[in-house]
Amino acid sequence: MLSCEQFEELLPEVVDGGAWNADQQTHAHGCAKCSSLVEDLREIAQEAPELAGMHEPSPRVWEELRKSLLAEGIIRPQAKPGRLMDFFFSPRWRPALVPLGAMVALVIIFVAYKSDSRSGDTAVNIPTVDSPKVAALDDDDMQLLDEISSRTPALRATFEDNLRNANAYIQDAKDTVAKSPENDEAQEDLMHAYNEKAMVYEMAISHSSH
Amino acid sequence: MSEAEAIERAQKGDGEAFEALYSLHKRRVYSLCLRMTGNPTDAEDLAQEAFLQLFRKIATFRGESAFSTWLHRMTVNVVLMQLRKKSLPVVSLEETADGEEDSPKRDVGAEDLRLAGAIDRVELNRAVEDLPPGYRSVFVLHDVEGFEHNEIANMVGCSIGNSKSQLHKARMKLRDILKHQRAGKAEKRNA
Repeated sequence: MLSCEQFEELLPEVVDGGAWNADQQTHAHGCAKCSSLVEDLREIAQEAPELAGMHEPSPRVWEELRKSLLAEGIIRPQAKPGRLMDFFFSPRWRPALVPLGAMVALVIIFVAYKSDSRSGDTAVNIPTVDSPKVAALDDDDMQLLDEISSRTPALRATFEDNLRNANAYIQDAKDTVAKSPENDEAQEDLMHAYNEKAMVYEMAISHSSH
Repeated sequence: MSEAEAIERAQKGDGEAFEALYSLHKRRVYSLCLRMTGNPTDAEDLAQEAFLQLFRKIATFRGESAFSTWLHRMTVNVVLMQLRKKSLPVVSLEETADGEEDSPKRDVGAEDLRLAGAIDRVELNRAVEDLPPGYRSVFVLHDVEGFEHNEIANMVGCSIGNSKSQLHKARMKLRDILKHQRAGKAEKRNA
């Protein structure tokens, strides 16, 4: 006949589902304390898996983790052109596109007027969108044209020409600024060129959103 | 997004996929860290470190083992390394710890009633928090996380016998703690 101490020494195997030997069975049947102990330990072991996943970490953990993943280049940023187009064509911005376009146009007119008044009789050379100059298109332009193609294919060629002309204008203006950096008119000219391109974008977005 | 899809996309550097994997496993990983350390701030730092180590290696994951198993092993390693750095006992190397103040005692011949009523997880969780660190680690790894004694022995660096012995002592100690908790509640009710 096992003593309680001897019985307890053999308990771990029994609690984890091991088979009772004859001596253990005899002791357990005759000892209420030891049989209670076995039942309690089994209940503790059975309840324990319920503790997994009981607690929620604070949002700080993901924020810090995300920063580390970005810093180490493990999370790759999406391609820039796609993001830019997503931003422009996001439905939440569409209601603001028309007023935004009007604002851009007003800025261009204001700058052009200011430039005219400063240069007196000297006409400022602002190439129009139907200028014969042509230039290459960048990734953003291609994304814009793809958007136009998918929404209003007939307008693609027109906008492509306008973008090429605007890019040529920007390139010319940049060259002039590079040659004479102190020339205020050249600086303004460059600003006009960028505004012109902004206007082409605004028009394209306006067309595509209707 | 399913876990398999999230893994595939994360391997290509997709930020949303990393967030999805984190969301799927954050509770389990954090709870494991919290139980092993007993400190919420340390647990958050360790959970972050475990995920970071895993995500650094995600491109090498080929799916031979379950993703969760991989993650939990990595979490355990991160936590154990931290406990060793802090010189906290993962498992007592002293097999005959019964003489220690913290070790469970069972007075033969004394009244030793069964725990009255089922054990709920909130009360068990509180009792686990009160376990000495050495017992707690083996109990959490075996009974909560489901690791086998041979795996625990490998991870912790002890013998299989030591792991079994510590687990038994941990359960005995938990039983004592639960009894005291219930006795305290009963006293309060009667007061």
